[in-house]
Amino acid sequence: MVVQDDATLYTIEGVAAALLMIATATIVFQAISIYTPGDTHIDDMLLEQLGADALAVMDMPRGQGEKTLLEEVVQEWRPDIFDATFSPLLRERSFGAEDPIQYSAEISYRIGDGVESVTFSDPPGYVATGRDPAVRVTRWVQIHPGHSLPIPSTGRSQAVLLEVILWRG
Amino acid sequence: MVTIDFLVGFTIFISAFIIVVAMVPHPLFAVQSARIDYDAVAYRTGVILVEDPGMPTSPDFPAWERQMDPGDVIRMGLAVERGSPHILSPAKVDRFFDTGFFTYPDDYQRSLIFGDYPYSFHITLSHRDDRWSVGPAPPDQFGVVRRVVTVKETSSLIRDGNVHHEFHLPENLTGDQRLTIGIPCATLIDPAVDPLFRIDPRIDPLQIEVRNIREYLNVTGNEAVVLDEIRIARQGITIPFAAYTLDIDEDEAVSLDDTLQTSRTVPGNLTFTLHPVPNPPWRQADTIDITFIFSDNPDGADHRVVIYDYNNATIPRAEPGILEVAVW
Repeated sequence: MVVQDDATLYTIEGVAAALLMIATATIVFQAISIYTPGDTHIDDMLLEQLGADALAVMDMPRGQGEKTLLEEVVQEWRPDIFDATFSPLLRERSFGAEDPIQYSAEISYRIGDGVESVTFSDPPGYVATGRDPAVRVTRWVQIHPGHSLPIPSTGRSQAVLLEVILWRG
Repeated sequence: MVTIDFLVGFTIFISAFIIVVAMVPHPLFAVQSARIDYDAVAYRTGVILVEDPGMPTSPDFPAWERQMDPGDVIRMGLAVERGSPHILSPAKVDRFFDTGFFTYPDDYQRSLIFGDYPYSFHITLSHRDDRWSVGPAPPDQFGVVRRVVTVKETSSLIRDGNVHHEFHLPENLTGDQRLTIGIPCATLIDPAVDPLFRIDPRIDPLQIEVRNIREYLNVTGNEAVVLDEIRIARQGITIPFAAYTLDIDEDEAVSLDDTLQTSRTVPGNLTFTLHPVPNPPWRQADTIDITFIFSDNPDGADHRVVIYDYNNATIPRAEPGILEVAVW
């Protein structure tokens, strides 16, 4: 019987192809890292929830029939008290280090037929990186004549919109 | 003609191909990121805790924190009532973090986390200087949600002998000195009152504090003030009710049965706390009267009624707290 070289060629080819396929697939699948848009969405949602919570708790009456802290700080224009209360509520964590959440707050008001806004609180110490996604939370606050806001007085009670932009710095 | 060589080679190739195809779904599982799942469960748990008042199995009295058996709790929410998120009930907080009553993790998984997957979790509440927590410390990777809340404070009615001069010494009147605290449930349970300050005798503890009792009762000379009896009445009829505590001068805590068995000397201050019970004897329209009967005062006696309402009772300012839920 004649010994032929090509008698085992198909087998060798099969083994080679198998190794190549498995190696390729393994390398490809191990290298995949899928970052779904859902990941960022959840982080943003949690941040928004936290900001809305903090404003809601600050907007609870301090006593039966009394004003809320939020109404007081806006009425008296006290961004320092706002920062002292709002910032710990955002950052405090039970486990792990403080959450480095940054924010800036502004107040929008209606004047004539237009809407204008004024910066309420813009804590320093933040270096913009240009890539942090920000979320926005808002709360309506009622102010009364005699307020200290740097806006034209209308002589009557009015509602202003407190708008807080939050991001992780 | 098909050779054996071709068959062997083809078989090896097909086997490898099948293995590769079988590998494909595996990385696709990773698309469903576990972290997102944990975050979602943490978020859901946070919502239940902060925005829901919870639910017991028995519908006649909707307070799960008063159930005697952990199995009777369907859902553990901490909110004081439906529609008032962020306001937590102190009684619910105490019961929720009572790991002697609820077993970690079974009871919590059944009535808070839900679902078949056995999630582990760690829940912490920081409020003022207090810190409650349940569950082991979380590992490196976990889903977390943080909620800002406030915990409702306990109301109290304070009578201070140096401030309130209500007891007089009418002529020719002998007998006991009596102080009656009238608690009108119908006035207190008013939907118009903000839930943060509403007092509901059925679910909130009520505290009555008498400071400087000698001055308050107008006791003269060296006589001691002796508390003989405490009577608790519903609609004017005395009933046996044991769920109260009595602190005399803040160091002696006396828990008594329905009547005070032995008289006690009260040197300075008296604090009485009426605790809520699973099926309270009072209904929404009832008036509860708590009468403190002090011994005969030879100089004369007086009977005063003070109403426990929103004018007389005080409730401290609520402080914010942080509730954090970690799931893994």
